[in-house]
Amino acid sequence: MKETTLLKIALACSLVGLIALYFISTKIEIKDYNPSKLGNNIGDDVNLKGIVTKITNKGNVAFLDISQQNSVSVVLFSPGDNLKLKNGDNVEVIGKVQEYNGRNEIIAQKVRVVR
Amino acid sequence: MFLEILIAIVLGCMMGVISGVTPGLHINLVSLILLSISPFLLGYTNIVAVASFIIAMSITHTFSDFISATYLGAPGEDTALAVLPAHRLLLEGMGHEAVKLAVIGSLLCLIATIILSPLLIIAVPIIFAHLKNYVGWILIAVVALIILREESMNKKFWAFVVVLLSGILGLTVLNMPNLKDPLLPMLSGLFGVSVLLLSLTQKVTLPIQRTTEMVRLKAKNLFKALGSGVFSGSLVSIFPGLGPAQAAVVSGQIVGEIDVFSYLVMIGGINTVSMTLSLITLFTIEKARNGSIIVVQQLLQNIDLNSLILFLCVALIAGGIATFLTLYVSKIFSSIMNKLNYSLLSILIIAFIALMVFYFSGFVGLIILIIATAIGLIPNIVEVSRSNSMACLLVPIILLNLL
Repeated sequence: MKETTLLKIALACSLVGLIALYFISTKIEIKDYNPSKLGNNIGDDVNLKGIVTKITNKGNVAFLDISQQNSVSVVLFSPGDNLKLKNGDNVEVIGKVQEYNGRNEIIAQKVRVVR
Repeated sequence: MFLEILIAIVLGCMMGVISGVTPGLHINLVSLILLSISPFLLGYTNIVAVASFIIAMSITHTFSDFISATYLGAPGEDTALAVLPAHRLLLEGMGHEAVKLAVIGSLLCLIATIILSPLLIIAVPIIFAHLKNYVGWILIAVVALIILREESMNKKFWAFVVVLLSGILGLTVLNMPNLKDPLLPMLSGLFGVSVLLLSLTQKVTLPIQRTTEMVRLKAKNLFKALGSGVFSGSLVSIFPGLGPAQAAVVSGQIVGEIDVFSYLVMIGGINTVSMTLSLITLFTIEKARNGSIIVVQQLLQNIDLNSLILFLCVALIAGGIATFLTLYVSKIFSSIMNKLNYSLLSILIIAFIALMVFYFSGFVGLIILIIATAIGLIPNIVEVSRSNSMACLLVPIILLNLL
């Protein structure tokens, strides 16, 4: 096999990948979470923006109440640096919606302060 | 989103070349570092882009780690069996050809896996459910075959001794509490430092390295190598605990005698296929089979079909870029090797490996490195296959599956 043939295959590979990536990336979106539509998002990855109103830190897990129009419970495992939060912080939470004891809550993958 | 992912892929490919070229740096180790800095990265971009960065880096690493295995004789888990034929080609002035063969295997097997992915999405859960209980028995048969294929009774005996010693070493090292990165000293000793020491004692001088445009491969052998690459790579991603090196041993027994060129194509393919397929196993059976995918899983939990297609696109693009980068860097190495004092280079690499081992695994790691090097010298002295030393990984996995 010639090296130029190999490089042509590699180039074709990248181009096909790029075109496919362009189309598929438009289908991947992290939805904004609207707590007024409870029950519609279970299992979905969501993006929630709001203000921290309550923080309960139990070491390996932290519970946050994030307020939009309604309050939403957010659970954060292994909080680490993310717990440099305080009440009143404007935050963005990315996570998955789950049902626990009949209530929807977000299991957070990432919580960051939005300035 | 598209632009962010694109930037992540390019950066991932560049990092993958650096990690692949560095002797002794395994992708699992890099993944651990990435996991620790992912909160920092997430401050600048989204989860999908960070996951794409990790996947692009891991795929590129499976292409470029043949550079350090070939030119520096420093293998990782993925390249342990390739280092010997690759090193032999280097000593015949064909270092670049060795890397090119592994790249051919990586790229073509990557394409084959992506084409076969719809079928694999259906087949993986079925195969996993049927065969997961038999991994230990299959590996026992493999070890027996490795020993029995030696020619004379005397060699069979020595092969058994090497299997026994390597197996005990593997069991001891992998069960040591508080030892970080146990594979680094063990595999570097068995397959890296021992080979370099032999080169030193035999006063090897490197011939002028040539970079020919053409690598001659018989079509039949190429297809055989690609087929077994995809098959073995699938074994790695489906079965828990099975690594690319063990799968290569299984494949070696199934395909029988193949020439050195095709063998390198196969080993190149296995690493890339196992990395690509572990994305599919994450989607189908929700299991992460290697360090990079564990990080992706930590970031995204489980992935949906759209994310899987996106990550397969990322792998395809990264494979294309990695081909260019690996061949380019290999040519640089090839031209530098002609100007270097190989004995001095071997000493420097041994010192570098020892430093890496000391940094990551401490003083105990250095002792393991010395013992593993001693065991690694035996196959050469008694003239049996060095793949017998792979028992260091096979025996612990057999026991893990059977006990």
